[in-house]
Amino acid sequence: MAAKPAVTIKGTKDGLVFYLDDRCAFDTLLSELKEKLKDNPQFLNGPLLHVTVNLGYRYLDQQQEQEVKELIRQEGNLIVSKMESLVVTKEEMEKARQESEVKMLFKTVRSGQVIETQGHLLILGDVNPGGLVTAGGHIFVMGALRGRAHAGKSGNNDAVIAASLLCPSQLIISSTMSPIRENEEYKQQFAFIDPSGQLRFAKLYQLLELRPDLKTLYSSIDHQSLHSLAP
Amino acid sequence: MGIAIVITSGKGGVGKTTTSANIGTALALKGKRIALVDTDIGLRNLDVVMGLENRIIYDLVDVAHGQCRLHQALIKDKRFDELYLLPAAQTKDKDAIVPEQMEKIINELKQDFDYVLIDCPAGIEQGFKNAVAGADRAIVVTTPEISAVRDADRIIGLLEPYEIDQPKLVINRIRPKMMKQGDMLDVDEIVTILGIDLLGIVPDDEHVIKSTNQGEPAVLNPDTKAAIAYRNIARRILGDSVPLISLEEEKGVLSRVKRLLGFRS
Repeated sequence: MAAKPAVTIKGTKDGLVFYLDDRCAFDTLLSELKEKLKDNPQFLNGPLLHVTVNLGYRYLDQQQEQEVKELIRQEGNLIVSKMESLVVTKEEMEKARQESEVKMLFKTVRSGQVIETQGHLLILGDVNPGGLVTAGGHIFVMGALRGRAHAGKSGNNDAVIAASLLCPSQLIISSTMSPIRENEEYKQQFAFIDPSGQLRFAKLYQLLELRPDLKTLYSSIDHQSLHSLAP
Repeated sequence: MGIAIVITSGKGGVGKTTTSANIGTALALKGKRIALVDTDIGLRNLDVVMGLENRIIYDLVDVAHGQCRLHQALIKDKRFDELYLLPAAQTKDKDAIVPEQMEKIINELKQDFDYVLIDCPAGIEQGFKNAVAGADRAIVVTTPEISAVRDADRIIGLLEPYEIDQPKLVINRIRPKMMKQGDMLDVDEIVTILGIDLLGIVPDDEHVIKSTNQGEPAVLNPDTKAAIAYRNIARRILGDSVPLISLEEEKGVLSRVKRLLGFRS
């Protein structure tokens, strides 16, 4: 074939990478991938290998992605651990945007009220007993947190819950619940999950030490404001 | 054009009806034209507390359904010429009227009266929605008990979507001695949790029970502590744009509690 091959396999220090051409038709891609795997029977005998698939500017829907994965699995002793593409759908983008957004609330969350967000939550007010706040990311309360709070609800163990006054009726991070302690107050503290999976409390000044990623939260706010300026 | 104030609490038995009757009477004492509206359909009490039970012919539901005109249902008080009661129906239930009808009645009353006080039923269902519909302001009544404070918090939250100014708080049935000993929730503590302005505190007073049973609002007897407290609340309602009036003139334990809390003129 004189044309540029649709499938190139390269070995990198991170393992095998399959570069799939983004110009040809999907069917061509599949048949060539199949041939390539057949031509290299050494894959079949080696130990189980994790590979990365680089799609370039091609977008695959879930079904197509599954087809590629299955083909690689069937033809070789290989498992696709990562699919990389330079394009994202608007939905994925919107989801990512929502998850990194900081929702600000200038009110007291009272008994019976529920505040939900996919991103992070910043409340300038109290959360009273009987009130519930949930977030996909972190929860910060610049007041007293006396109600229930659930951070990292989509399974983010790195999420934290911080408040000027923490005396919550219930705290949940990801799927870990705080042990029930009656009438305990934590001033200027935050709750987090330690490496052993326990929910613990620490002073606020330790926040960046324990969660250095929070530094990027500030730049993500900046990024969003730029985004909102774009048409 | 008058002002409609709803008196609500969420929890039952904290003294909504007593507060409505006494604030209404205290405002009438000040020479204001007052309409009291009982919205607790099926469990009406305000007429009994005011001693007007046997004068009821038409009620709120009759007015809402157009079976009588508004002024036919209004009962004039025995003591004051400018104090009227619109009683609730006893034989129907809370679903007998809808918020739109209520709003219309309240707006009509506001044309003729300086203040329209709406006594809200306990709970957060239809009765609450009806009572709140036409109100411009709200008074949340609570007692120094944890359950009453929780319900008050819920009610303040439920009032948010309505076009009502931030509600004002009345803490009822305070026992200064218990509060001082720390056996009862502190006034400060309650105000901190609820985060709204305090309109007044009313001490627990046996005279209130006695006068309620006689159909005479307690506020008419100026010697009792509760009466003074209710009169002060009424004065604060009237002087809305001025800061809270000094509570110094209140004598006895109550003033000591207030001085303790830092109330000064």
